[in-house]
Amino acid sequence: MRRPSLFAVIPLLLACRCAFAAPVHRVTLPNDLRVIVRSNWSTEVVAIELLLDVSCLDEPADKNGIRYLLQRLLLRGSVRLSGDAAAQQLAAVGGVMEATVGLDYVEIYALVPAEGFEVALDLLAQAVRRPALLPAEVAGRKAAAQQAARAARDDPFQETYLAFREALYGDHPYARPTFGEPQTLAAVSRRDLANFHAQHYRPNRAVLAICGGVGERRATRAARAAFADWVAKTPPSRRETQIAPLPSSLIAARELPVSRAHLVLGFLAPAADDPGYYAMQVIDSLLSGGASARLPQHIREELGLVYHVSSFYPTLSTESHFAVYAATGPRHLTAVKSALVDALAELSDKIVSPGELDHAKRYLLGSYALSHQRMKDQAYALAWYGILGLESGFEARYMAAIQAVTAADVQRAAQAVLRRFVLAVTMPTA
Amino acid sequence: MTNIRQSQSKVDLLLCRGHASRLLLLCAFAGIFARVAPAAVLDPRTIQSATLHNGLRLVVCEEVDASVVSVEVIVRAGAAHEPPGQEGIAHLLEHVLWASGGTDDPRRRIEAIGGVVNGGTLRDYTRFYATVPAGHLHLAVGALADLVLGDSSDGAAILRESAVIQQESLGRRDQLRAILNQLAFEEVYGSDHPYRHSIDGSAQALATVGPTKLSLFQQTWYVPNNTAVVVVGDVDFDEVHAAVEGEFGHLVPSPLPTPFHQPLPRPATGRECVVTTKARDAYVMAAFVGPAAFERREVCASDLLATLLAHGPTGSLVEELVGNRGIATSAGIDFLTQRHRSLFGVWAVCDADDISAVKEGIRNELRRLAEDAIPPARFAAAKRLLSSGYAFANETPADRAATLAFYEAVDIYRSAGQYLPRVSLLGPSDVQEAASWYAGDPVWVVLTPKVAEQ
Repeated sequence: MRRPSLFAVIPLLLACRCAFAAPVHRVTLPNDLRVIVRSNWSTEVVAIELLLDVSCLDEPADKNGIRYLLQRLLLRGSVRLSGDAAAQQLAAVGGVMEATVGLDYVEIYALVPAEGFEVALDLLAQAVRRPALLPAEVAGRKAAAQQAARAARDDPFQETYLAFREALYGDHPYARPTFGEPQTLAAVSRRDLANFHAQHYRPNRAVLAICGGVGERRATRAARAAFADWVAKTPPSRRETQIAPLPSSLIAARELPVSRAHLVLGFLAPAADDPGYYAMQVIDSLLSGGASARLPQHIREELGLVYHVSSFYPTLSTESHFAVYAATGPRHLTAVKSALVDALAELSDKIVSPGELDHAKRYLLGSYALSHQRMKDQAYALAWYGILGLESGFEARYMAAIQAVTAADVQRAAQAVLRRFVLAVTMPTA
Repeated sequence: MTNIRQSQSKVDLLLCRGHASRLLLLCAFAGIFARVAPAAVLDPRTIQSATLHNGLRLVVCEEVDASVVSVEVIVRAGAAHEPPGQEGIAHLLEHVLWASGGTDDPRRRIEAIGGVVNGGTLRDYTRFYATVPAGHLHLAVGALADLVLGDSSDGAAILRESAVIQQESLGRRDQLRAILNQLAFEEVYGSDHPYRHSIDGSAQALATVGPTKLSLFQQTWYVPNNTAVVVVGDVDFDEVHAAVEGEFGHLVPSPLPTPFHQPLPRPATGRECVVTTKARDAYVMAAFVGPAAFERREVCASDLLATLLAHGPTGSLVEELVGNRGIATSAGIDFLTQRHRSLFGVWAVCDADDISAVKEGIRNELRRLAEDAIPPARFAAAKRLLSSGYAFANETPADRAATLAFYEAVDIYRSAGQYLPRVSLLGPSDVQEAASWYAGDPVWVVLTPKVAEQ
């Protein structure tokens, strides 16, 4: 069969109106809130995404998890409406709303049928701008957050990934759990929450992205109505912490009452503004981009050692990490580890063939388009690129840069990045 | 471009290749939504169907603006069709076919054009599905046909995939919600009901499955008169018909075995099954027998009841147990419509000390909905949420193909388009009637932490 050219995927990228073809309208309100609108008349769904550049770097170490707790409280009532009343108003228009937290941002989003767009946007604005932070709610959410933090530590992937980040990042806040820890959450008072909110939740640190069945005029009009009087404020200076290179490779071991051994093996890796970023994206695709990629083919299908194995490469505002993850029966751990190490070493030692490189790039670009079909995913991407300062034309640049990656680029990136590693393993409790 | 959440999605996506993650995804993310479709999109007027000369069913939804084509191939053979002593064979067959590509791997052909491909096994059916750029219909149909009609007689592949399934099952042991769900199936369905056993089957049963048994299962069930192909996207019906005819038209129909014996699930009598785990929290489920796919009005009423109980912060069960009383950290409903009567499970996660209070809370909420009038505004909001949920869960061609395929497997594809009109006709008395089915004594399934038992 004739191998399809890389250009075979271009129609998907160009024609995929959901992610690429639809124009993006941008406006910055006088308070510096950036509003991004991508209308799509083929759907009645509207996604509203507000990301704030409020990072784990903004959290005091002894109050780690304050962002997580605050996010949980956003949906428990505003100064204007109780949490129940707001939830009922949102339900009446068929909308849903959620507030989450990442290493580099806090997020609140809503999904709503188009006719309820203004209602949902207004409720979202009230939630993020004027949370009530009622004492009873703070106490209740704090207890729930502590329980959730404990539960998260029972999750073997989360625990292994956290052990990996702790070893990799040392004193940097990326090493901490985003959901906090029971004792640091206990140290957060209502006053702390109010102060943190007042200092950090500001329009000049936010990006609002709206995607779906609303026009740009309607969307920006509603955005102005909901956010124009939100007052900008200079954020407190952020305590920047350098990420130190690993002096040597490290191993971190944990135990949990689980059935399988969980393993994360990874490295410090370039941020999105680094030229090496795109080659690492291709490496990610070579290793686990689809069922025919190297890791699932070899470790799952040839050796039968795992049900799932993959690599991952989060896009972070500063130095990121590239890692592989697998879970296996404890007796296979050594074999899986060896297979992973060999697969990573091969990237540095051997130049990838043109056919395999071409395949990995095509899969990467195609899956990128497919993963941005939903309005929510598009809105999230637009807002996140905005926070990173990449928004204008990033998708086109991304595609061009991926296409330009050569086999030599891949080998160079592997040799530069895949060196000193952290291996985190969570073993079943004896 | 990946970020941590998208990377995690990749993990989730790959984990979903099996069955249980998909099932839990359906249940957890208001499973009621994932098998229904927005009327505006799955408008019956946009959907055509045909039956090929060999009995294969074809369902096509033409969406001229779509940039992709999504194809589902379903075979109505899942865990419920397995002979006694061969529990897990349907899942094993799916695995072996999935990994039997050889040098011209069909998955690679799809991924080479930027497409995605996957498969999964449920109790009622097995599915293989792909999404590709528009214009690649023939490639997708051909690749999926190669997977579904692949060779299942390779002994080495069977051994290898059995080992992979063991790893998959091992992981399932750590998923307490999945354990709770499976235990509920075992308790609610009698020992001779085919829904009882898990889709993974057992290592002992799988150890007896070699090339002969696996090929026999494939030859018995993977026949055109037990198969359907669903296509959604920028396609033309005639073009799809020709493509499917070209790939599947040569297959010879074969009589299907007599439908399996379907005893009614055991009545709920307040029995309790308690299992000790290593987890920190307790998991509680009140398990009932819900309606089957063909009981369409009852399915809609149960879905609406589930919305009233457990949709987000406005669900009364969540509000009461999690919000007001703080005796549970989460609560929800497991209800995946199936060809035969399905499990309806009301569950909560709590401290071991709160198990009794949580059980009482679940009973009270069900009783309240059965006996008290539902405020009109609340009822209207629940219907609104159910309707908007269709749109959210059926946003992409792949979603819509999955929905149509689901209905074609457990009922008939037209039910997807009839779902919303049925919901719109429901009144409070319908929901009260549904609640009254679940207001009796359930089968209780409880996972307790070790410490609580001492």
